[in-house]
Amino acid sequence: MKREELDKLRAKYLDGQTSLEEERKLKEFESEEFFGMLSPSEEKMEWGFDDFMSKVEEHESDGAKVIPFRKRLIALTSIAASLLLGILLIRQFVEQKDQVDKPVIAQVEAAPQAMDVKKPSDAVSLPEESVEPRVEPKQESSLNSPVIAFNKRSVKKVQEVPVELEQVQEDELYVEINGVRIYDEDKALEVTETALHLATSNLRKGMEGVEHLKYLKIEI
Amino acid sequence: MNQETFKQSVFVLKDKLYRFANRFLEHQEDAYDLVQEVMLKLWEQRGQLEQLKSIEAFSMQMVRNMAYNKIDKMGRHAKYLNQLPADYQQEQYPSMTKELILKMIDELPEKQRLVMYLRDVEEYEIEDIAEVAGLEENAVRVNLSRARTTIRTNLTKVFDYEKRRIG
Repeated sequence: MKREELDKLRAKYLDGQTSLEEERKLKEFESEEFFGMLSPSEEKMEWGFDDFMSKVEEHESDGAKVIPFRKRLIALTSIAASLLLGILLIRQFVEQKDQVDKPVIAQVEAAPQAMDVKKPSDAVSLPEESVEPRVEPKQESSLNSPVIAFNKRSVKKVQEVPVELEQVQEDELYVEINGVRIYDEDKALEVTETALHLATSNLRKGMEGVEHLKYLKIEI
Repeated sequence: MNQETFKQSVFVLKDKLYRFANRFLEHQEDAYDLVQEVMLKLWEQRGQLEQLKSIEAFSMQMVRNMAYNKIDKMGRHAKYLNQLPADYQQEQYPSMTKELILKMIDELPEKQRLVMYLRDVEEYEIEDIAEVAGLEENAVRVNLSRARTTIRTNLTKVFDYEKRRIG
């Protein structure tokens, strides 16, 4: 190779424009050691295919792939986050449910001593479910002012008869409604049933209906 | 891809991959481990390898990426960090070995190092280098030119230094 040609090729080489073929020529003919040293490396990796295959088997027999700690950490964190989110959602759902239930619980409540309809236990045979529950609007919470909420049309005011004062008449007195005492058993039963019916129908109307009740006491 | 095909088309690349990994990693054992890891990954993906344009470029790319990850993990203790001048200036009669050139290449900026190694040592086509390095072909040529010029200049300095010492 002529010197001019070599110089030209060398310049082309430094410019990064030579082809692989031209570079091989340079390596072959160039007297400078530089190009000679750029021959392909012969360094080898001492690793046989059989070793590789046994490594593959070993790797596969491990069953699970070797998961780097970082990936494992990400997976664990995701699981923990999902669980936490699930718990929070369930908790929120339960709380919402409680909030919906609360007003109902607050409105209907058994009043062990309060009586509206008084009746000797041996004389009256009202069905248990209509007599036994003592229903009273919760005055502390929803009926701050019972007088305002009083509905004359629908409520019969029944007052309890003091036991001590009416000792004599007590045996025969069945019910007292709006100050009128009723001694007739059938009449008392009828009036009581009507009163209970009114009360329960008001209760069924919910909060609004309950507000129409001023005063209701039932005692068996 | 069966075992035999894998051996003929992929496993034969191990020496190239090993040499390439050595350009990134300081210790040969690390390069060895890395190539083993790459081979196992390639084996796992052997079903899809035949669809690739170039298995070799893909494998080299894998080595490069994994080597970078490894270097990152080691706190970027790259092999090429400021070791070269001390190395060859301390030698009384530095012979122009291939090792010396490789050290100089290792000292180059990342892209130049990659491009010059693949071209001048491994004799890759520009197109393949572009794929492995993730560069445009033109950028490969520019980086190649800069790398060669730098190496050439550095070598001249070494030659001159030697001549002065001998003289």
